[in-house]
Amino acid sequence: MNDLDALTRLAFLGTAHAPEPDSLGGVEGQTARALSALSVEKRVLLAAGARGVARAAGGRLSQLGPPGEAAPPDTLEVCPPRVSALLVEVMAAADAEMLRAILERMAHVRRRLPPELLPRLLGFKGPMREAIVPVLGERGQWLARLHPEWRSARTGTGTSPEEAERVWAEGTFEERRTMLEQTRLTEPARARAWLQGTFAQEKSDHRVRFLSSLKQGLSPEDEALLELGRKDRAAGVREVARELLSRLPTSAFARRMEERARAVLHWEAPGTIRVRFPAKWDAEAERDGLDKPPAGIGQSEHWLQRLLSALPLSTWENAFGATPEQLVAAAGRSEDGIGVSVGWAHAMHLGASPAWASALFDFWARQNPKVLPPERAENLASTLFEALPPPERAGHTLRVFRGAQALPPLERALALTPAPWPEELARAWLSALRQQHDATPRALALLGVLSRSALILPAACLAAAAEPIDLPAPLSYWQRELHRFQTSVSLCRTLHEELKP
Amino acid sequence: MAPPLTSEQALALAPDSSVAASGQKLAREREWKLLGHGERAAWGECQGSALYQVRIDLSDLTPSCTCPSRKIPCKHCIGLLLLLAAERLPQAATPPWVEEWLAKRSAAAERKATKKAAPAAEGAAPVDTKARAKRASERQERMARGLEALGLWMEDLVRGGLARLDTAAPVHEQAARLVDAESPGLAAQLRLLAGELEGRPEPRRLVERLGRIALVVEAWRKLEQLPEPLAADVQARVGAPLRDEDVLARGERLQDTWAVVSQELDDSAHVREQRTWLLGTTQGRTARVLQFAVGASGQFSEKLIPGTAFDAELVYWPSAAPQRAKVLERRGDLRPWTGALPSLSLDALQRRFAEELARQPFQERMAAMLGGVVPVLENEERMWLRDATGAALRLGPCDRWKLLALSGGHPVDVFGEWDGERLRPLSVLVDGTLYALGGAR
Repeated sequence: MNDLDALTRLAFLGTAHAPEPDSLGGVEGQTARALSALSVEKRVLLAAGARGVARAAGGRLSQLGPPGEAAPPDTLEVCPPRVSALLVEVMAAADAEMLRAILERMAHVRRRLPPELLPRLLGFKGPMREAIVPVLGERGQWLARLHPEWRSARTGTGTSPEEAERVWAEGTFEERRTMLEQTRLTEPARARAWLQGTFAQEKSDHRVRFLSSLKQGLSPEDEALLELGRKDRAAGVREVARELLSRLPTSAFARRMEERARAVLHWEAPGTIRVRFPAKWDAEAERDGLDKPPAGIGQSEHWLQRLLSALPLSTWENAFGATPEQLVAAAGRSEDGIGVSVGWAHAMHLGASPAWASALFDFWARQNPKVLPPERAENLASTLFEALPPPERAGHTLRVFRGAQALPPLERALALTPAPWPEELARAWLSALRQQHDATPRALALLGVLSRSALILPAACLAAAAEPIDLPAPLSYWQRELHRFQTSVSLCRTLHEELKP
Repeated sequence: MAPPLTSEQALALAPDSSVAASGQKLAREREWKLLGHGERAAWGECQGSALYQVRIDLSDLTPSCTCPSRKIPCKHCIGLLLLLAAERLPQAATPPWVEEWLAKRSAAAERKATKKAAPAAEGAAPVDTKARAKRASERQERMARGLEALGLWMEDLVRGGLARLDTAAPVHEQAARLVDAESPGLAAQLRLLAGELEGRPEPRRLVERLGRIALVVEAWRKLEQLPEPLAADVQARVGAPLRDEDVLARGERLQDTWAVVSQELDDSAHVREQRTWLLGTTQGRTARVLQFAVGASGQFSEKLIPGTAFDAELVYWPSAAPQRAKVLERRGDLRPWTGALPSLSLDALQRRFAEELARQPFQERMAAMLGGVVPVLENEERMWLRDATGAALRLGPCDRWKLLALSGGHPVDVFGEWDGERLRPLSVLVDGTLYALGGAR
């Protein structure tokens, strides 16, 4: 109250308690004195009004020091207006997949976002950021530096080591994770030292995420920290640690697992693989994952999975001097054939191999449904399919499409083949789609693709996909889905027309 | 030919966001049977429950559609406008159904013009001057009572002390009474006061705002002693509307090429209110155009699209410092404006506002384009516009990050409303393109 000027204080206290406006200074004093014929309340009100007008008319400008650096001139060309309209459109539709595709295409042809869209895109959190950074341009980088939450959206460059330390020490979990991943890219040892320093104090789900970030730039020096993870209280942390340790063939864990696995699998002439577990595992085995199986999985299958998923598949080709096909067939002659095959499928994460994949798909497809229920075979095949590098997948899909391979089911294979498809597959799918007359399983599998965006089609097939497709009556239920798909085709066409390399 | 409007502008024409969204869905060639544009029109046929014919008069971007939707412009119109903005319409010969519509429109415009020229056409009902005078005097009576009551209430407030005013309820009640007393202008000023009370009021501002309302009340009591234009200002502040014929008879007329520099739409009530600022590209005068439309289907009579310009004669409401105006007569088509616009320096803005307040002390703000200013972010709370000499003024709330992104720390031209303390930025001009900033009111 006391830091108020005299007139404001008077009005707030009330003239009933302090009835003397005439002693006021300034414009308000002059006004109050000039209106001496009026009541004191009116004088206060009109004096306040006069001062309000005077203040508005006589406001002074402030003086500011030199402003910060302006944004450097942009080197990338801005994207064409139609693309910026597309961006607005897909953001309005919350179509993340399409948004990412547009951003990636822009990065590919070296274009940048128009300035007016920068704030909306910088506001994105999570994985979309990777796609945004390359198209920020100088202006976007400059803007991100001004906003505390956007700073981490920039590439690692420009963050000072002190700033990075500060974020790691004080940031939110997301900021810290981003900072850890960025630092891991440029200085893997530093990132490891950070995590080693705080590992015991982190929450268990944070430990899982932080430890996973070591996958980038993994090296034998990481073993000590991963060993901490291997002995962690939380099963999720242990699992991540084991997975990463198995990627280090020289680690003690990987060597123990190899030793055990080779003692368990035996090659017997003529071409059979026998499984013999020891009477008792050594002391470390339980912590290495050779523990009680989860519900629904047998003990030996569980152990086989844990053992075999820790070794690269080439181990067996070298140990038994046989091809993947021969090895899978040999395993199939023992009663643990399914368990072994599943363990091998899990080993794909250490290096995918098309020969192994084909051998396993065919093996599962040939099994007696009583031994391997079809549903499980399909799930196993889909999981394995997902472990394959994207270019590999399309080849298998095409084989399934033509009936040369039974697993995974066509619907799954089509759904799991990442965009963009090779032209051969895209054309085959398009022409098959036009030949469907009834709701057969095959037709449904082909129509299922319509729920994806047109990004699966390579540019060369977009024109063909835009041609009208008439669905016969039994399939008219898919009309809407088809319409949506073709809308996204026209969007992709615009994108390709506007962003030519 | 450059498109006559941007996608943003096309979307801004939609009566609400659901029409905007459905319009976007229709902005694809494959949704249309026939698309094209010529010199004077753009058109398309869109298959909905029936085949709808959509056309746009390119001279003023008026769309029309044969669908039964009560929302105007409908989604089909917005879809076609978006296609027009995206330059996806092929050049083609105008179909007969578009020709006919254009011809009808020209005929209607001519009829309107002849009607304007002969206001007292034969056969019009004679004006009952007696009844009108009676109504006017009853109205004056009600206003006088309402203002008297307001004056007493304010005096009571100051007598007991503003510290007691801890809720906005009594202020809202006064505002409602003033609406009944046919003084909507004062009611609106009281609602602004109530709005400050609901936030964190700054005592000084509160007292001065109340004082400025008191000035209007006092001036209205002495209306006969005021010179003509100032009396009109006081009446406008209180809220006595001037009839159009009075505006035409007494208002200043001004011919220029007018750029539409900002537009805000308030559709919170049943009556939608559109506030548009125009800036004369050769004389640098600003003009505020207020338009009202009833309900979602109501249309604003004058199509004003931000970022475009048109040649026209405006007429200003009589005032000692004219601001509000209406379009009297357009000449020629509207076109996208891509060029410089007359602007003021920060000093000139201050000087001009002081001059205007000296002529017309009842106004609260003036609008201007400020040239060559750099937006500077001080912290979360404060943002400034700084000129090359280091002089700066505070910005009110707006889409700050968009403003910063568009300027990149380089000088730009910012259009906004200045009240002597803060500038409420409405749009920014960068390389000849205007971008809306959505300053909070």
